[in-house]
Amino acid sequence: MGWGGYIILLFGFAFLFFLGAAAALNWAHRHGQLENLEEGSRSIFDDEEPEGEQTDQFPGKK
Amino acid sequence: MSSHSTILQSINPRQDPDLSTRARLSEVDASMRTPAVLFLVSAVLWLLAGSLFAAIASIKLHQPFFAGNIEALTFGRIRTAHLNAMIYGWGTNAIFAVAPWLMGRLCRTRIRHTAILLTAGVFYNIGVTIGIGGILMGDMIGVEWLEMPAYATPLVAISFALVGVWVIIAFRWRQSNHIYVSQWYLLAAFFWLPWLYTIVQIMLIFVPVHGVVQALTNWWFAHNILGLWLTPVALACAYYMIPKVLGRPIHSYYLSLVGFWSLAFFYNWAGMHHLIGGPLPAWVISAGTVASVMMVIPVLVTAINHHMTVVGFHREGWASPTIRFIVFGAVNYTMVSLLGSAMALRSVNESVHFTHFIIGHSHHGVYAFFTMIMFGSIYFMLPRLLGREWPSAVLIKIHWWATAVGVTAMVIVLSIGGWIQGAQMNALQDVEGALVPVYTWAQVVETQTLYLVGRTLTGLLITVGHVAFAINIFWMLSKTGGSDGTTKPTLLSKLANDAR
Amino acid sequence: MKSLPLIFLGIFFTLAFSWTGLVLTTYIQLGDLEPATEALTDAEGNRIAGVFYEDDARDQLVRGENVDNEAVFPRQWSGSAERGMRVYADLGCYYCHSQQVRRQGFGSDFERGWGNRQSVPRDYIFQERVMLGTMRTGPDLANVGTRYSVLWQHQHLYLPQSINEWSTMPPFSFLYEVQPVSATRGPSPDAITPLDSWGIPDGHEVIPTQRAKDLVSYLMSLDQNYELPEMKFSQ
Repeated sequence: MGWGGYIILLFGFAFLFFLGAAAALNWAHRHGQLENLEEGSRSIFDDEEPEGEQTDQFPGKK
Repeated sequence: MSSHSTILQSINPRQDPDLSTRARLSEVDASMRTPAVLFLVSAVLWLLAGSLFAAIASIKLHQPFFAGNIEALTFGRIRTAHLNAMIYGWGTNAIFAVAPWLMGRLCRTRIRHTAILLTAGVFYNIGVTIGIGGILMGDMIGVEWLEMPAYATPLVAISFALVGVWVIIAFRWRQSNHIYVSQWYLLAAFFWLPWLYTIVQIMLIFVPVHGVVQALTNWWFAHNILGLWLTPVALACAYYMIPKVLGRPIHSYYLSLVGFWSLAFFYNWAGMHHLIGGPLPAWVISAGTVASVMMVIPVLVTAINHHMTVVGFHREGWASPTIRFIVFGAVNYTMVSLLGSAMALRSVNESVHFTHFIIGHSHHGVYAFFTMIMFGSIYFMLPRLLGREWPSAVLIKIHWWATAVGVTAMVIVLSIGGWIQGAQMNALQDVEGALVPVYTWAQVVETQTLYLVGRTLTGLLITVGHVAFAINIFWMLSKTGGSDGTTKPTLLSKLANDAR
Repeated sequence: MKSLPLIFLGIFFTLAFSWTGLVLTTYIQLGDLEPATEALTDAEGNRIAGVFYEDDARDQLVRGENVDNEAVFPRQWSGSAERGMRVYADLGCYYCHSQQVRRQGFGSDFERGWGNRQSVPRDYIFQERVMLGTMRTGPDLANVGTRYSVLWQHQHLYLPQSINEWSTMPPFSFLYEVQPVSATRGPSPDAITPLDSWGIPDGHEVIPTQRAKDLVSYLMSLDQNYELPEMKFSQ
């Protein structure tokens, strides 16, 4: 296969990939995946280990 | 706890009666106790073995007659045993200990049927032991990072798949509406690893390709072990522990999103920078260089995120062993990656390729970034699994100082030595119209002795830290009884209160 | 990001993309490389095709030729060199030695006499295990077969420091046997000449094991000192 064939193969696949990525991003936006991002960052806290409280120290320290 | 479910029910959450229960963090921790301890003990034993192999290898480079004329200890084999013990023995076992626990915590679900993890762990360590034994006995395969002989690797590959599947199944049980950034990284790492390993085992060992495509596949694989296995798990830990310990959410969740996808996209292609100047099509090597430079994007994004989360809280952070190790690791992630992007430029690569600078760089990444973050994660995890506190703050401090100072010094020593090595290797002068090397090979080799001795000494310092770590862990495991609940972490005080 | 299928798709495609783009594409590009003469066509522009191989009774390198009886390169290896490649691999030689000559002007490979030209993919098509190497604790070996004799290689492997006292290369004397000279049959034809610093006692000789012989065959086969259509010697 001459180098023209490679160009078509590589660029074709890359183009399809980017189409897919754009479609995924579009889908994500329409389905609210990208809303409320900051809420996600709080999801690791709860009443046992609440936000605002440090949860680790050297042993023996109070 | 609740009713037992069969393994089949475990795979499909809809079948389990206690679906609606969002597990308490302490329940999650308790469910991972046995497998995590198994993996952790294996990891620490491999860390010690790998440190021993490292010491022998390092000394041999400036004292070639050290350890006599024993074939099994010849430099080429013992260095390989060191690498495999650290990547597959220490690193991967540490990941297998921490990652399922982390996934469970983030999904608010206890890890079920941990016998599967235990089985995988036993298979895995048997496989790695046989593999490293095979390397020392002379069955090493001539592919960097994949040297374990073919009789050991299927066990390893199966274990990768088993643990990976189990972590992903834990994910199916999630009780949270939201998928946290660490979960993206863990999912990605556990999906990528078995695929990567299987493809390369087929392409290089079982049905090998011929010619330089071998080298290309080799470095696509080896760099992806760093970038798609070790790095994402370390980042997952950092993204969880830093906010968790400090009690502050990650600075910008949006940046985390950008960081994850740009890492996923670019890191895959960066492996070609190991072959710059080599007998491969120029476009392949250029692709590697471009991707390596583009890695600046996810790296800076992560750096901003972590820095802005920690800023203003340095004093509080210093009081936590976890934060010390993890922030050290995160800062070094930024440094090693930016240095790496620079090293991928042809002009820099001309000097540093083939030198000890590269070894400094690899230790910078695998140790100062990945390993330090794993240490920090273990310091956070183990007390919660066992319901007891670390026995000795002094041992933690010894561990911290020995490894932090040791690895920093090692990277500096190897970088200076390597830079000089490269400069001397390449230096040319004009003698009667012809270009000749300025330095003889003898001079290049002899100049390095100082730096190689430096590497041995800093390595020994790091090993002191490992011994302190191991003692603390085994001491903690051998203690019975819980904590008295008067010291942090807060979770332990609540547990003790429940028990009264 | 809340959707698991979306995340999975992205994770899968990033890996597939790099594998296809890097590994598969290069495999397609380089997959049909064959050994060649310095030219791929003759004076009339016809392709020079076909290769036959001659076995050499002394188990030396076999030479390939094309239909016009011109040598083609790279050469196929002998059995001993192929076994030696495995010895090289299992002793971990590639952790200190590279096997790739960089182009003139990029580093000092040419000026150090490591090769007359840059290495190209075609040089490696017959190698069952390509060990390009990533460290130069020791010199590059892509053309080491052109630089030293068989005896030198054996002596150097036995004790590198006896030839280069500054060397940090491990001694491989475990690949050799020191045994008394046979009283009935006299010295062995395989024996290598010891150097004084080895301290071999009188009446003893140093015999390479089969592994040592194979390893040296392999090292002697490392030779890129021929021109190819895509890469002529540097000036």
